Amino acid sequence: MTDTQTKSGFLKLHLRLIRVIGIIVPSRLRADWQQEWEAELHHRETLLAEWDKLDRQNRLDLLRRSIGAFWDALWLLPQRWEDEVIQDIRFGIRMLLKHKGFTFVAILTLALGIGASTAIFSAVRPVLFDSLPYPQASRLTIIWEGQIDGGRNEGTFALYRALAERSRSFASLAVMRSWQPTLTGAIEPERLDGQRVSASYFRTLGVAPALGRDFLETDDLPNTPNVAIISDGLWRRRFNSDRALIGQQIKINDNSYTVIGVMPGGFENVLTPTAAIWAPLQYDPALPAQGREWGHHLRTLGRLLPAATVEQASQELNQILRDLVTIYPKKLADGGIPAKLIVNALQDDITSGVRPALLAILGAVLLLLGIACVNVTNLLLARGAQRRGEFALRAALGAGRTRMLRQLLTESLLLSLLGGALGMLVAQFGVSALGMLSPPGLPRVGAIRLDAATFGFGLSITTLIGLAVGLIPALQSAHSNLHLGLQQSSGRTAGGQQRTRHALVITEVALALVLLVGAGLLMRSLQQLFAVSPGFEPAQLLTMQVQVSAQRFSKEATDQFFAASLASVRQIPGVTAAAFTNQLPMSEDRDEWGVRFDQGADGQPEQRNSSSFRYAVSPGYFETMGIALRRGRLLDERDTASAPPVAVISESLARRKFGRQDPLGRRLRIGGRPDAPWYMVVGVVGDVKQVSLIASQSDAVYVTTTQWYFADNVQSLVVRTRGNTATLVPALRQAIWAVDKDQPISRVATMESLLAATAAERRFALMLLQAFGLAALALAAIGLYGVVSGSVTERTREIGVRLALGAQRRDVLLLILRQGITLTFSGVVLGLLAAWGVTRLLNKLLYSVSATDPLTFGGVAILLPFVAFFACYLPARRAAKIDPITALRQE
Amino acid sequence: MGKSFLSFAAAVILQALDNGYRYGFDIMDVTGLPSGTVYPALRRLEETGYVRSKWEKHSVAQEEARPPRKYYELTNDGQNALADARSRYRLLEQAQEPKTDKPKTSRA
Repeated sequence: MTDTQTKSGFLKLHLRLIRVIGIIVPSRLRADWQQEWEAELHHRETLLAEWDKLDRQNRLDLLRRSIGAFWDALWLLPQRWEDEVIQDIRFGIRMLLKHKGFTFVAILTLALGIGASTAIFSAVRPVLFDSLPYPQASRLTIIWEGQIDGGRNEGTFALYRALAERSRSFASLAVMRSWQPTLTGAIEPERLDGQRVSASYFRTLGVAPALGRDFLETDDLPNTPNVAIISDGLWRRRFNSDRALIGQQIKINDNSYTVIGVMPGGFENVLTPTAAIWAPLQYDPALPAQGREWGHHLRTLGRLLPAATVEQASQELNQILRDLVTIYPKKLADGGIPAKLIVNALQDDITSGVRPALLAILGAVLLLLGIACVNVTNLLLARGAQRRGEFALRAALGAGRTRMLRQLLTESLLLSLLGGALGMLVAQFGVSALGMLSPPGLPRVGAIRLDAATFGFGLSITTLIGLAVGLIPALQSAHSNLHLGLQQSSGRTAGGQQRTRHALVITEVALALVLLVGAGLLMRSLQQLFAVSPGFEPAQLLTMQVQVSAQRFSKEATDQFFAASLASVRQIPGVTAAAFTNQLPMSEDRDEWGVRFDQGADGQPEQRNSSSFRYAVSPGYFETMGIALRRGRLLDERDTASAPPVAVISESLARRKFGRQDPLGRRLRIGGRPDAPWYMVVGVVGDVKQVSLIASQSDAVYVTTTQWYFADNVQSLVVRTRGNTATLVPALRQAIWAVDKDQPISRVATMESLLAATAAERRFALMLLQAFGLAALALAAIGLYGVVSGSVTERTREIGVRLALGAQRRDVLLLILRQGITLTFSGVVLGLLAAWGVTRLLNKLLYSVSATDPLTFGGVAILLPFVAFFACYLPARRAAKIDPITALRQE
Repeated sequence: MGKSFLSFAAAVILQALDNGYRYGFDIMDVTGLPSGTVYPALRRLEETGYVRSKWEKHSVAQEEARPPRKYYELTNDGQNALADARSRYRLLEQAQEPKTDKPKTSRA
């Protein structure tokens, strides 16, 4: 290092230090302060250099002296309070404290707006904006089989194997199905949510167990030892976080499984969020002809290679599918040939269901925030009018326009910051409430929380609002005429300001109307939806799932257990009817099979399977559910395993296959097994909605449990009751456990709550929209009241003159009312136009209601002015009661 | 307020000013007090009215290619206060020494 370099380095260092320390010096003193220090340091350095004494020692001394400047700066710090900004803030706080009523209303309004939007933002962020919690989550895709009718189906193991062998677009493919095993052992049996997965599952997601090891391909072969990986939650809850659990055996469904791994605590399993245990599928890669390997019950997950896109992958897979059709024509025909393969980004796939509802809610809360801001702006404007005299005086005393503008902006920022702080509390409550109220289908509920990003969102909208709501009043005040202001410290109207306030109230009414129309449309949709008949009688129906362990029960034993349970249940007083079914309408159950008739409507054997819901039910199911018989007979006690196999089909299936012909006596086969029995159709029943009230598919085949060729281990009990359904639950449990105490009972619910749950997303959106709509209505009414009331105050003298000149009180009342009503109707017209344009965004949430439903639009257009009328009537009545003498004496 | 009571450091600084040391750094040299004491003390003395500050002429600063320096002078009040202080702090008498043009750096 040369001497000059060192010198300039030091020079820079101690001078730079002064600059840095200068930051804490009050701004009005800073330039002088810096100059004094810099000059001294310069001077000293020059002298030392001249005397050739600029050695290390002296340089260090210079540095030490510049460090001392910190204490000097610190001593000056208290004077910072005299800085203008601080003055503004102190003055602002004094003003806010002086007008407590105004401050209270403004802060509360802002807090509600900011709190509600922050809470909603935190709820929609994981779904709408964040990527999934996996490495390179954008490369994760889900693969569906597309059906000819546009529907989509789950994949088969055979297809997965074929794709895994042939595809070049994916780094890894995996399949999985849901699994509800029962954990037995020393403690009471517990039914768990889990997944059977291919060995590649966790690798495809990009996660690995925190403890132990991942599945290996060798774990995933038939007849290999059972292994399982468990979730962090289960590990902590059931196994006391015991690290020695790895390698130990646990009892699942009466079988021994070796625990080989524990997932990390932060692992979010988005495909089955409740899953606590995973085991390999152990399907046969040899793909035996009639095996489960050909069943459409697996979800297929793929991780794209970095170079591949979703479109390329889709093209490639469909090409592979075309090749497969030529390789396995028979097999694929039996399983129902997928028309195509659909590749979706995983993120889109799991969020697409709730996306419209969340967007609607986000839109609604932003509207509400807008209304809150408009309201506060109006309050500030009204106060600006009252403070005109104050500002005129300050201007006369020499305050600059920028200074006054800054003062007003400081006040509005203070308001918004206080509102924002309170809003964060509101958001905190809101987030917990959302967590409780959110629909069960909402993905990633666990990721909803208030964190840095949410606070950042809250803070930025708070600041924006502070600037936005302050700007209009600030500009208005700064522009107002000095002389006019001094003359009229309590006075007549200033035209420009009135116009702005009117425009704001009109905006507010319009925004509120848009929100109310949105809420109204959703409400009508839900009404329409629940007017749809599910095909059975949901009232007084109690349901629960009962499971038997397949290892302990043969087909006969299973049938016997369910029959005995049923007999036991039917003994309970209050039970009028009861039955078992393998799949329960309106639950998550979905068991579809390919069905083929021996003769179609043309009398020829059917070549292709068509997909139908397969119900294996106990006799009495139709009577218990209240499903209507259309033709023939229902299934009854005669239809035992030894009797000729019979089936009942749904009206829609009968109509689609046979039109006006009689379906009775036709024979059908369920599934692709060549040894499957032919069932004779003995009856036709009304259509039942299986998945939801909206889903149109109703094709169904019913057979008795005993005539079905394998045992359904998991069945749902449906019980029709007299009186209070809920009180029967303990008795029902007892009745079943009296038959066998080791069988878990789960998913206890009334049919009505299941029905409601199928519309949970709509209901959730509706509930929030209703809340926001009501808040908007209240805010608009308050805003209207504020403006009309303010104008009455400002026009007191004018009204006094009118009354003195002989105007009737009625005339005054009408005069003021007319003003309010004119504003309202302008807002309503504007709002109707805006709603017309905006509500189509709700389309996906609407059900048999048009986005421009005249009834909803009309209803809201009547409701809003009705409320507005009351908001205007109060100040109008006050105006009518003005005493002319007092009014005239005021000035 | 506070006029009748001067800290020893403040009194020393007043004495240094009286001796003809007018710049902050020179006062530090002659008193041996650190910069973190001298400057706040000067500002306090200025606030109480014992000291006034002035900027040196621009021409002087320009010659040396640096910003103008600020110097401090005793006011009449300051002279009185110093006289008071001298009677209290005997050591101050001894602290009087003639000013030289050569700055004293701490370890020079």
